Amino acid sequence: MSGGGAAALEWAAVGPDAVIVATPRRAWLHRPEPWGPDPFRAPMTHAPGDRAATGWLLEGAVALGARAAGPAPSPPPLSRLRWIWRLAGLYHLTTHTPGLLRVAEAKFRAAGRAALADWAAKKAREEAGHDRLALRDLRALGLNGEAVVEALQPPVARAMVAHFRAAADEALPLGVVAYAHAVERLALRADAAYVARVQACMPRGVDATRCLRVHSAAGSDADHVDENVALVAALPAAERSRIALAARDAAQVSSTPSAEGHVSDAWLAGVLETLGEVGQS
Amino acid sequence: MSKSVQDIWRDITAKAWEDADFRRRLEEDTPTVLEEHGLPVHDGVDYKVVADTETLRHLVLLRPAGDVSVARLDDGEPLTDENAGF
Repeated sequence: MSGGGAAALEWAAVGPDAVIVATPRRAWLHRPEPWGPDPFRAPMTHAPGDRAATGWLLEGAVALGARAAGPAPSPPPLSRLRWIWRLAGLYHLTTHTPGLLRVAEAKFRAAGRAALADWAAKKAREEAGHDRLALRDLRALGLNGEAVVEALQPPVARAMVAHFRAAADEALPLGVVAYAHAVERLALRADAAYVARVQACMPRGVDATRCLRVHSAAGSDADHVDENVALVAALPAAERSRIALAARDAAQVSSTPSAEGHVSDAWLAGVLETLGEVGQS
Repeated sequence: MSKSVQDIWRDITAKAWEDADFRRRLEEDTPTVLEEHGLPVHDGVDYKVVADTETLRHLVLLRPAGDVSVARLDDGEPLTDENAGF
């Protein structure tokens, strides 16, 4: 940092006319004027980044991505049936996570990027088995979890996995860091009150929120978000900028509703009946 | 290849240095001159040209377009059961 008391700043272009500018306290969306001097038009070059400002840079990127997705159509009311659909989505998201993280780990290791490789390895260990939590939740609801997740494949979950897989396919898969951060930051929006709302829809004595709790503000994602920020702050400026842009994209994919709209309760109930499950809501 | 905004603004600056009438019109009717040169002019926005001198330098304090955070996404919007879109 140069200049006594100068602000620690992070910034990254996330489009031809949009730059996220972050201080250690907040993030701004800056629209550079097409003429005249603009100190944020040139990419940042300093390293490492200020940790708090990097956190806000990523915060702004995730928020912009979610905003860019536009308003989602009003969902059907929360119910046991809708929760089954959501659990299927959580299963499909979590079942691919450890494997794709290990792909990223190998590429980071081969590139001599030990900190990134160690991060991916640790996260792969932490995320292992979370798909089984979703299956346990489905079983707790009296369902054949494996059959349900085979039959129910929410389009947005598929899109997120495809995005994750494409990020892991990169030569230096920094997009994996961005994806993980975006998903974990957005998961923190699920607070204890939300978990209680879900639980209230379940039959008495049934615990079907194991997977949700792990991926909510009540779980370990808050720590994961802090770890992600620390990792990114230590990277070169160009890589921090690239991750911010990729986090924006991942958040947009995660927040974009299916083009087909919400599936109906009748359709969901029909699928479960076909499986021999009770499709009651 | 068409000129960039920076290229056009550079041309306008040089022209104003050498042509007093042009400079006066640029200062007095800025939007019209900008439009004549193909620069974007937006409704509801005032444009003001200020000139540096030997003893005066203008520093432009940029406008912040808005603060962004994930927390603000929830302003007035309760979390739904479809918050991840599925």
